[in-house]
Amino acid sequence: MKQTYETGLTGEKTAEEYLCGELDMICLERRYRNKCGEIDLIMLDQDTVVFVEVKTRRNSAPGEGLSAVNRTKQTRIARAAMIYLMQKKWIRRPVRFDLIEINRNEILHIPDAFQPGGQFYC
Amino acid sequence: MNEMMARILSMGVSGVNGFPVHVEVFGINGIPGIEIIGLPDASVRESRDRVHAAIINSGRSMQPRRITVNLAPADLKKEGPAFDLPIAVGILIAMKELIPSENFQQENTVLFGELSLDGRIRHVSGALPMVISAKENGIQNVILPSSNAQEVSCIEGIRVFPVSTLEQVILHAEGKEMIEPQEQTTYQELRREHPSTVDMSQIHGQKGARRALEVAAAGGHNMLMIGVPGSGKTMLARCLPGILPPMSFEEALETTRIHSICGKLPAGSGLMVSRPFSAPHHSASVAALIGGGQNARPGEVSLAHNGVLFLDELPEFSRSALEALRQPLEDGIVSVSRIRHQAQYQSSFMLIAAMNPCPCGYYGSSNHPCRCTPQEIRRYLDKVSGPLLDRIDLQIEVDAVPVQEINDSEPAESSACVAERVARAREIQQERYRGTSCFCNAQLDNESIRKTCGMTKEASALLNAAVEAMKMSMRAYNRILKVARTIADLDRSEPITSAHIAEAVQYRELDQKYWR
Repeated sequence: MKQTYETGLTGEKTAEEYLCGELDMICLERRYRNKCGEIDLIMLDQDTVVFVEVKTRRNSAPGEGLSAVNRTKQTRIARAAMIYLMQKKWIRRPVRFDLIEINRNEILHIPDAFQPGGQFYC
Repeated sequence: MNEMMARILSMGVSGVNGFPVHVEVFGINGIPGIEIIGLPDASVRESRDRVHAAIINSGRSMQPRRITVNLAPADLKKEGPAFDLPIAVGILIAMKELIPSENFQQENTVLFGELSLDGRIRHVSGALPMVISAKENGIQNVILPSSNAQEVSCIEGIRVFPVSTLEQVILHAEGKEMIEPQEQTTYQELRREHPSTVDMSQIHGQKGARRALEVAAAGGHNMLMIGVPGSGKTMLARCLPGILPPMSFEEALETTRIHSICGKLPAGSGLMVSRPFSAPHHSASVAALIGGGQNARPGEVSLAHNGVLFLDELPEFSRSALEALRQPLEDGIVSVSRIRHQAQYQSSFMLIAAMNPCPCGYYGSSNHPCRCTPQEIRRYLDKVSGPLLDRIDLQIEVDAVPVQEINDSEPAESSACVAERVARAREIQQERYRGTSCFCNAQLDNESIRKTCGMTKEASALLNAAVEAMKMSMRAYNRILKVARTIADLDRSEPITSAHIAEAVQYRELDQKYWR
């Protein structure tokens, strides 16, 4: 259990370094959580708020971690994101949902990975 | 400003008519997603995934935005995937991925087409009614799938741009690579490539039945053939479209419209030039024949509009299906009502029915014993009700062809010869009924029968004697007159003579023989 937790933590660190270093994003929150769910990283890409879900795998085929983010998980992330945006009064900012998979040293980044749509309208 | 708005014109179909649909696209920052509103059905709602993939595969990017697509008017149901293309173009314009050039008249251009995931544009149903209604609404340009272009090539006064990929549409709208509008074809040109049907020369013997078929075609009369199995009833019926006069442009438009909304037109085909021949199986339900289903779709009677409805094995049809035929037979129009949809479809067709005289099929045959009991025969024949039978002017018996006639090497008359005589008889009728609502003798009402069916003295005497002897009703009397009128027209004779009456009476004898 302990080990899994640490794997996740290092993965998120790697992802943050990659996004800040290579793509010039600014980190706003790490491991943000509220009553609806949690978000691994909240970044700012120019004026777009980017919610990032990081999946770390030590030994698996590429893309396998990403498929773990199913509809239920997407909804949970979107709901948490919604509350975050409302608290910050950022509801009319450009928003994006990214996925990052860290597989040992390989980084797989998917910008605009999913669009939760409909029920999150306001 | 971070709001983005676009408005594109498209067309929807309700019944046989198109109606303009404004596709409004509104993009705004926020949690990204596409939402389609304005009473879309499932296939319209799914279009968001097709549109997304098609835009990306056409080399354009799609910014994550909160997008609302509204299909106005919002109180009419929108069906089918034809809105994919206008939605995609609307989204591209709203997101500023596509800046339309001045030459692209957004307010004056209708777009429709289904998108495939790779950005190609696929065939849609209902293109013809949509383009006609676009023209009626004063629209001058239409962008549609290239496989639908032939279908509308005869419509004048509207520029048609056939496209096969979304990228083509984008480049056209940007003014970078203009598409050439399609050239118009005339209906006459289309008609030249007349497809062949079964030819009458393939039918051996059956002199009487051939003659009856010719009379039916010349006057637009309904016909019933009773005969043993294998006597050629089906083949005779299949000859009919070949000897009927060609459809006029208006008729072709009406018929193609109905086939278009049913999706019965194969991709790339033009206006229908030959008359439709529809032969539903006898298990057909009322809804299949008349039209129905959730969306009040047209049925077989409407698909046979301006053509032939052939009902093989008439008594095997369900009673309710046969009775439902009475209204379209009388009025030439059916109204189909469902909870969500009401529609009126034209259905003026020639009914050609074929049946066996009894369950085993050989009652009355000259060379085969029948093994049915009188009760069985009675029950079988009673499935065809009196009122339906009454609407059938010509009733003939078709017996098996004797062996020597099968081997007869002398070829029978071809469809072309018969068609010529039929066309001439129809011309006479058109001339006579100019300015009235009827086109052929079968549509005459009682009033005009008296005016147009002048008989010689002997003919009148013969008819009176026949009616007396066979105890026929007033309606039967009029029906005989109508058929006699057609026979006289085939003969190019103005008054109806006793020979014409004699032939017409003979087409009426069967209900005396079987149903009494």
